[in-house]
Amino acid sequence: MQSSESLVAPLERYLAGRLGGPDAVRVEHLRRIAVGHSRAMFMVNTRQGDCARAFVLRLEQGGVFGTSSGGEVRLMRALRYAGYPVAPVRWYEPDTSILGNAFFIMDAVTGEADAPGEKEVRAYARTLRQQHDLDWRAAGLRFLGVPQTPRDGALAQVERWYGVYREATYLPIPLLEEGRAWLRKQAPAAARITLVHGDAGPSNFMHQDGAVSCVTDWEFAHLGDPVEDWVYMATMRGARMFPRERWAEIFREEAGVEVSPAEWVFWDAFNHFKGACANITTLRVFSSGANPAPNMAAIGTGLHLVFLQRLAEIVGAN
Amino acid sequence: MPGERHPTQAELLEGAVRTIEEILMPELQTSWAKASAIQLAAQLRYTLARQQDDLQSRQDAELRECLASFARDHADVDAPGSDGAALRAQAGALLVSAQSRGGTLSEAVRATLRPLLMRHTAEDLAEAGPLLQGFMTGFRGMRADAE
Repeated sequence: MQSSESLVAPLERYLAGRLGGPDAVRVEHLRRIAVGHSRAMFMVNTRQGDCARAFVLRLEQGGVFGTSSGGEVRLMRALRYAGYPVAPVRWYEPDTSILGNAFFIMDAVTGEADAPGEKEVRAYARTLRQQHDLDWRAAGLRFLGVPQTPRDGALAQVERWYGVYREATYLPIPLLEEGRAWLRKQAPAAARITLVHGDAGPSNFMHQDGAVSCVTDWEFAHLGDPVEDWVYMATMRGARMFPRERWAEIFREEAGVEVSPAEWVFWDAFNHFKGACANITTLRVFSSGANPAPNMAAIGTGLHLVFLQRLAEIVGAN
Repeated sequence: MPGERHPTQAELLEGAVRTIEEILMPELQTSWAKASAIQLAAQLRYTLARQQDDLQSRQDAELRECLASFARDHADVDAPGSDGAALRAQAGALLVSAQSRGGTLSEAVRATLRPLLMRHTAEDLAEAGPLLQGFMTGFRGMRADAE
């Protein structure tokens, strides 16, 4: 757990080494931004001689959610090369001795992440459709793991998150075990395999003047069933913005997407399963002392339970 | 000396909460620091609540009794394990099995074990209420500062 101030000197040394030049790099302003919990995000304003720059630092948090930055950076670079709107990643640093955790640094992108309106989420729905239409083979994304059968799009994700939970938990969680069995039984066959963001929706894209300037937070991305993203956007990230029916209209109008009732139920259950599994990782991160910040305890306890309870309700009703 | 005593843990925790909320928080400058302070106070309130009720021991006892009743009534169910991990592993296996099999055991699992685990989850959630509330308040505060 680092304070912002403690990052300044090592960051100045790191940036000086990366940027080169005769002048020292000064971090003029370092501010924690957003509310990301798996990664601490900082806006970094620097000056080197007459040159002012703005970066975003994305710093891991001791293994929260069982994801790493290496794959995220590789994906972001591939997407940018393919012309998809993501921030340019300058440097990825797996050496944990520099800032205490692995990190990467991006150029700051103009725009706002918070408070998108309907115009912005409609623009994002179109961008998400483009993401799903991306030729992932041509973009070199096989490293994400290619599902072998249409049902693998869902099954592989169920097993991925089940593995994360089993590795992190101190005690078996019976309702989560039941949820996994239910999901395995109900897993739908994907109509097509696409790049799935895995955390799609409001606050995970930046917007300016009604347009999407970049899509952020790629740590959960994988190849799978695109319906996962649509349901996640409607029932998780966008749940407070519009009711499900309104989201369904937006998806139909902007992206030509129809989600069947059975898909809504399955992916809603899956997203709560995933949330319950991912959130339990913060409890181990907290208890081990890797990150003793209070948000870790809250996510691993309260938030985990919210997801678990909702999953069990869905399973019980279906 | 009569009447002299050390402060109780509850008093110490309450003092820490009030110090964070009344003295430290008004002085904090950044939204992340404010959010962390709100969440830290919530964490202490959660600690305080947990001192007053040993929820996990009671839940383990109820779960053990439920599983023991299955073992009494069904020859193919083992006697419950001794610790929390074994109890929960057995409960999970029974829930999974009840999804794919019929019979009186599966009916009993659905009728008694599942509702018991749902109640335990609701109790855990109620106990974690201060944590969750602090988390959400801090979260919203950061959002508001950003806008």
